[in-house]
Amino acid sequence: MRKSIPPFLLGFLALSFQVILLREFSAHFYGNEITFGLLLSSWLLWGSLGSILAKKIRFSLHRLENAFVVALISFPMSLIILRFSRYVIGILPGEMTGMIPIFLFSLGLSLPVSFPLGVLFVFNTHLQRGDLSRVYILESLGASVSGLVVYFVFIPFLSNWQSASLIGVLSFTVLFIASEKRKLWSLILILCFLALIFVFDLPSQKIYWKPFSLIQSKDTPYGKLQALETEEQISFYNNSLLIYSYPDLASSEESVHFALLQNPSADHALLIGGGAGGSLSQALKYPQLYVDHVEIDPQVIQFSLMFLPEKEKESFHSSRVRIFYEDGRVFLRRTRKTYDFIILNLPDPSTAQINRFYTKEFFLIAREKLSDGGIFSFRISSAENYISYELQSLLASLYFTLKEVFPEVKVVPGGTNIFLASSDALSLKAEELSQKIKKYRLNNTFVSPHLLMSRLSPFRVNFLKNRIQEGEKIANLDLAPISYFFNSVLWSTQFQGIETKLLSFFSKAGRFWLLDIPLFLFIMLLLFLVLRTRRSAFYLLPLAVMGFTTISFEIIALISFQTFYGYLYKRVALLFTCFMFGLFLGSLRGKARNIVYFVQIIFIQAGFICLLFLSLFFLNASTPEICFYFGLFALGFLGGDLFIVSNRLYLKEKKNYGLGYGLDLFGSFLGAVAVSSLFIPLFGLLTVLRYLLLLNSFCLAFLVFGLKNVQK
Amino acid sequence: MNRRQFFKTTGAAGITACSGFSSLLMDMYTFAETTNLSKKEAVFYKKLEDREIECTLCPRFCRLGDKERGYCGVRENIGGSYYSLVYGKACAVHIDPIEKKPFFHFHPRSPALSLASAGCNVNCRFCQNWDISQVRPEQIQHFDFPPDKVVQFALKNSCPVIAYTYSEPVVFYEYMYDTSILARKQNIKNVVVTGGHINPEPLAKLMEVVDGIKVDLKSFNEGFYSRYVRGELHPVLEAIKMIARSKIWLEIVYLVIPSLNDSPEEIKTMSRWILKEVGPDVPLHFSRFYPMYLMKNLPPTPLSTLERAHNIAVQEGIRFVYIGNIPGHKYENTFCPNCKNTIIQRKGFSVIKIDLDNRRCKHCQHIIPGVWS
Repeated sequence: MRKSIPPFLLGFLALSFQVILLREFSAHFYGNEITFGLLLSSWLLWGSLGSILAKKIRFSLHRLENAFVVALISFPMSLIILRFSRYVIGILPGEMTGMIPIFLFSLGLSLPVSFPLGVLFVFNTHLQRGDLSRVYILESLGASVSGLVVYFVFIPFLSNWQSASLIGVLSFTVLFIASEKRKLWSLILILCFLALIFVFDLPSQKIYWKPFSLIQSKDTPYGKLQALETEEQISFYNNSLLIYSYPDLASSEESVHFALLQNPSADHALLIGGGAGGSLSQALKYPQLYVDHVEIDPQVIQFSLMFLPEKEKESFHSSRVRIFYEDGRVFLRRTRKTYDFIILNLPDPSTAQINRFYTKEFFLIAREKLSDGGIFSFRISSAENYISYELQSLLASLYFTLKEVFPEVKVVPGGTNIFLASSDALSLKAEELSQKIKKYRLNNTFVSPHLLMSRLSPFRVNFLKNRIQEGEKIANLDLAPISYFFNSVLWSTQFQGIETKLLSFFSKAGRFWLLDIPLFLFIMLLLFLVLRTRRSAFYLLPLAVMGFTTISFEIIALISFQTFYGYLYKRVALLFTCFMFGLFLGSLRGKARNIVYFVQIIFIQAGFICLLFLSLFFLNASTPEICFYFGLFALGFLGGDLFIVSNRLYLKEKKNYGLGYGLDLFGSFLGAVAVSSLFIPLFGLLTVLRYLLLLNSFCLAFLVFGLKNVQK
Repeated sequence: MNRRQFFKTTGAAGITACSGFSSLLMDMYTFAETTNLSKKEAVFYKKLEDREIECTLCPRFCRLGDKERGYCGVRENIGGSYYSLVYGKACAVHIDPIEKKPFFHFHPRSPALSLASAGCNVNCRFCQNWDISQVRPEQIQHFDFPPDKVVQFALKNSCPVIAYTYSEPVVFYEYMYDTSILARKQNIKNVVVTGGHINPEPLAKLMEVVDGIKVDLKSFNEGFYSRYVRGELHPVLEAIKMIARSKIWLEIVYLVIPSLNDSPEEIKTMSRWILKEVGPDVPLHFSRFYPMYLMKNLPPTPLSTLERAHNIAVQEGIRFVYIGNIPGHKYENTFCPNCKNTIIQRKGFSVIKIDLDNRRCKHCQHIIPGVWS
């Protein structure tokens, strides 16, 4: 076997498997930050344990091939188990499950794939006769190539199962050619299995959705779109979450009419998202109204139009409608037009990605693009009869954020709350709105005089207003996105399990317990290590800190990039690729050093501090886009260089190939667990950056202290 | 600092940090004791040996030791006696049209003071009010609203009806019972919106003080009840039969969930049972399911499914069959079973017209069952 193939293949598989499993996991488990964090951290944990425990497994070429085979077979098996997970949990399709099953699935599904990949890193180092640098360089190269292939070829053109199948076919063929003991029958058997995976993607989804009838499915860069048919009704799903059903007048009417009725004679509206669910045709009931509709994913509209009746399709071809396939926030910032209405028709702020439409900064952009007295509105899932503490926190954060931008804010009570904001007075008087409905002859079913009297009874309007105003005044900001944490807490209350208590506890614990105490314990660990004076600690600790820092920095960079520049799939993919390419070049640099010294680790660590300091200084809405690419490239470069230098020094002491790699992944695991789902929403991006800077500074001080010990 | 000193210092700091953290954790679990719950002795329970009790209010028959709570989470054994913790503790109070409950044959156009406390004795995966029904009283915000204040509030707001609704009124039985007695004295009617999980004895006593009961029949299948309701069908059917035999006004709501309880066979069997055990005059509402709570991602019920259920029930002989949650649908209206004319026209929660004259159809004088004035 050519020695360079296995490490390259390892890097290629590790990245592609991780990305595809994350996408598929999100598609089954609601795609929010918590479930995403659970799978990513499980993946990193098993990879870390695999590489640390690999020293217990004796190396042979045969075992190396077997470890590849285990990972390659386990991956499609994990996808199959994931697809039928609802049978294991015992729930219906569309029925929610708690975080405990999700957590167990994330651990169980990533174990058979990520653990062997961790072991393979050590086996590859044995194969290269201890040349760990070479393994890391080739692995980084494999990951970089994989990033390009997965993000620019597989995801845009193939489904997750099809991608998994093709990766399997390619990898097995490569292994077969490279292997010395070739068994043709086993290759044919495996290829047949993978071909079945390719073909049975849609049929298996149909089984998943039984007793409902799935009629179409499509994986897009933004998620898994699915259409279900129940008699005359079509329901559209993204990542197993119901986006809308057609016909569903209740939802489509309330999404636009409460805003439009405030000024029914106005003539320019911007509708961000949700047009295909009927909101567009509802808006067109106002005969003079021109609507600009912005939808980020063209496939959502194309997919919907395949199944919608002609009547609904007509609204997309109306001369009063213009469709823009663009990120809503980017569109609003760039447009020179002003609107009488800006209507957000998006899901609740359940992820950082969506939360950026509910921040003060976004509201400011909206205000700027509204004409005098223009109306801004959005909808949030709520409860009709009782506002829980958790719901109150979410609604209050949105209300007070709006209040900082608009002098007039009103909230429509009901199972869904419609937030209306303007610089002019707004009305929630049932009689007044009813008169307008009659005057404009709007043939509404739900936003109609017969239901408004009850929905907008002063008793209910005041009850909601009081509950919201009693809530805590916290603004939801781009760089401190608190509303998506409140939304996560609210989501968890449905399950009434340990997850609810934990999240509620974290929300009360505050910065002292969640950031200061862990940092203090870290400093204690550093002091302990300084006193212990073992040289290896000075080589290895920076790797764990690097793992934690890189994943946290990546998350911060991705969230802020999306916030400032929108979720532009290809550019986000390019960001990942920049990081991986930096990792590859950094590791080349580390290997190119003729002699490695401990002081080089100190300089690289200082490099991390410079990068964090610059980020802290420059991270704001006016940060040029190129800085993000450069920042992630630099992060990768420093990480790659540090990994090689630290390991080269450590391996002079002890031939434990997997420990450095394991600690790097373990640090990443800690970062993945806490940063995106907890620290960022609770404390904001800049605070997390500050603490990363502190963490790295203490690490640097530790290294400087260690200089004497190491040089002894 | 030598190594020993280091360990001493860090050890002390560690212990301090851990104790602080654990006190914070304790806070998480002891909030119950800081809240103001009521302590009203329950009416229906049996005292057993060793300070144990058996709750006899609902078919669960919870057997509880000292300091244990029933499945509903709002009744607790304290020292061998059983107490309701939510007596006079309201968490949701609104004034709704009675058509929203829905009651279609009971004082149409009446505003109903609607009242709820926390807790429920089942756990429907599609509950609309899960945030009050699936929690313990100390987890939510409630306020003191004793029976006399409830009645005063109803009078002040001109509500001729008090509805015990939203969560499960059976679990705040004593509160509902005492309020109903006071309300009656003021000529205010009492209606109960329940899942029907109640034992015969407490139901009989309740029927002495209330005027109307709406039962949510969630399916006609024991498997559905056990899987999606965490309850049983049989006691609900017994409760319906008992109410039907009394003078209390009964209406039945059947929430149609696509693919789970919408098969024509199930609807037909249920309709036949209603016809046999309750009679043809009970209003039967087929309501549209809208994705909620743990079933948030199921598709809503298509209109044709509801119309099919309606037609089956009518074909089986039930006279007053309605479709709910579809405002403006023609089957929101009441038709005279004799002359087929529209006698009550509704749209959403509004009643557009009532063609009744002293309980009789204005067109043909046929008596329309209900509590009309």
